[in-house]
Parts: sequence; C-alpha cells; structure tokens
Amino acid sequence: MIVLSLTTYCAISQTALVDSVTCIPNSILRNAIKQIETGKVVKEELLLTKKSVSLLQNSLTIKDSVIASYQRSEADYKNIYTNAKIQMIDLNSLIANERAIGKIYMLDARKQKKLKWVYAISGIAVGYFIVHK
Amino acid sequence: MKTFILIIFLIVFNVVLFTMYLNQRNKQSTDIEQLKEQNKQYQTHFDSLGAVNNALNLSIEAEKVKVQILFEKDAANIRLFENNQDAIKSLKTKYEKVNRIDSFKSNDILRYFTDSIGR
Repeated sequence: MIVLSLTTYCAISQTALVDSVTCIPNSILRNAIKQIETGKVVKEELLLTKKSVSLLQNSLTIKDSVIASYQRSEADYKNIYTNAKIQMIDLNSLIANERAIGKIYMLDARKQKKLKWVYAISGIAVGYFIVHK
Repeated sequence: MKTFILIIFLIVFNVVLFTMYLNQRNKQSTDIEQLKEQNKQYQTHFDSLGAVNNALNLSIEAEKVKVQILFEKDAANIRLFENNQDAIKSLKTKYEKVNRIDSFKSNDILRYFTDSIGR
C-alpha cells in the first residue's frame, strides 16, 4: 500500500474537457519544442529572405533605370554627333558660297581693270582723231 | 565728217560696252545675293542645330544627375541588403539555441510551456 501510495501514475482522461492533463514523454515534448522554435527561426529567416529578394528586385529595377538613362544619353550623343556632322556640311557650304562670292568679286575686279584700259585707249584714240582731223 | 562718225562709233561702242558691263554686273549682283541668301539659310540651319545640340547636352546633364541619384539609391539599397544578410547570418545562433533543446530536462520543458505558450 505504501509503495502504491508513493508511486505517481499518468493517466489520459477521456471525459474531462477543460484543463485536462495529458502525459507525454519528454523526448516528444523536446521534439515539439524544437519544431516550434525551429519554425519561429525559419519564419524569421523566410521574412528576411523575402526582404532580401525584394531588395534585390529593387536593385535590379535601379540598374534597369540606370541602363535606360544611359541609353537615352547615348541616343542624345548620337543625335549631337549627327547634328555636328550636318553643321560641318553647312559650314563647308557656307565656305564654298563665300569662295564663290569672292571669285565673282575677283572676276569683276579683273574686268574693271581691263575696262580701265579699254576706256583709256578709247579716250586717247578719240582725242587723237579730234586733234588730227 | 570722219571725226563725227568716229565719235558716234565710239559713243555707240562705249554704250554697248557699258550696257554689257551693267548686265554682267546685275547678273553678278543677283548671283551674289543668291549666294548670300543661301548662306543665311545655312547659317539659320547651323544655328538651329546648335540650339538642338545645346538642348541635347542639357538632357544628357539631366540624365547624369538622374544616374547619380539612382546610384545613391542603389548604394542605400545595397547597405540594406547587407544588413539583411547579416541578420540572416545571425539566425545561426538561434538555430544553435534550438539544438540545445535536446538537453532540456523536465523542468526546462515545463518552464518553456508555462513561459512561452501557457501564458
């Protein structure tokens, strides 16, 4: 009797609904705790991983924006280059026209020079004929 | 009479010569005006292209500023990512703590349930 009274027994109640006591071996409880705690850490890790992925996606978007910006700059540079080439053509045309104008003035000057002699000879001839006749 | 004819001839000759000279001069003036007009057009085109190039240069400068801002954002993003990675690394110690559960005694188990879940 003494032995029986000192020994504790675990029992699973089939009738009590509230605050009933369940006897579970420590190894199972340890396992349960381990799983709960692992779950908590894994949840935290998952959240951090999700955040990392989000940050990486953000980084990717930033890099895409940088590339797009560089592409716009490149297009602008190409346009500037094309415009500069056209400007060069314009300048060459301007120079050619100025040269043509200069040439016309030169020809005119030469003609004036020749006309000067024609007028001089004509004048002398007229004077000569007027004096001798 | 001969002198008179000669004078008339010379006058006619000079008039013809002068008329030719005037025609030639008019033609040259027209050519010069045309060339000058062309030059004006070229100059206008040149100036407009210069204005466009200036606008494009401004656009490039604006893009440079945008890129600078994006780089700053990226640097901030990288810092956040590194902090996050450090936080993930720090989870290792938590996992190690989880492994210590294997050595839990009855009291520890009881404390765990009463402290963490029971309350």
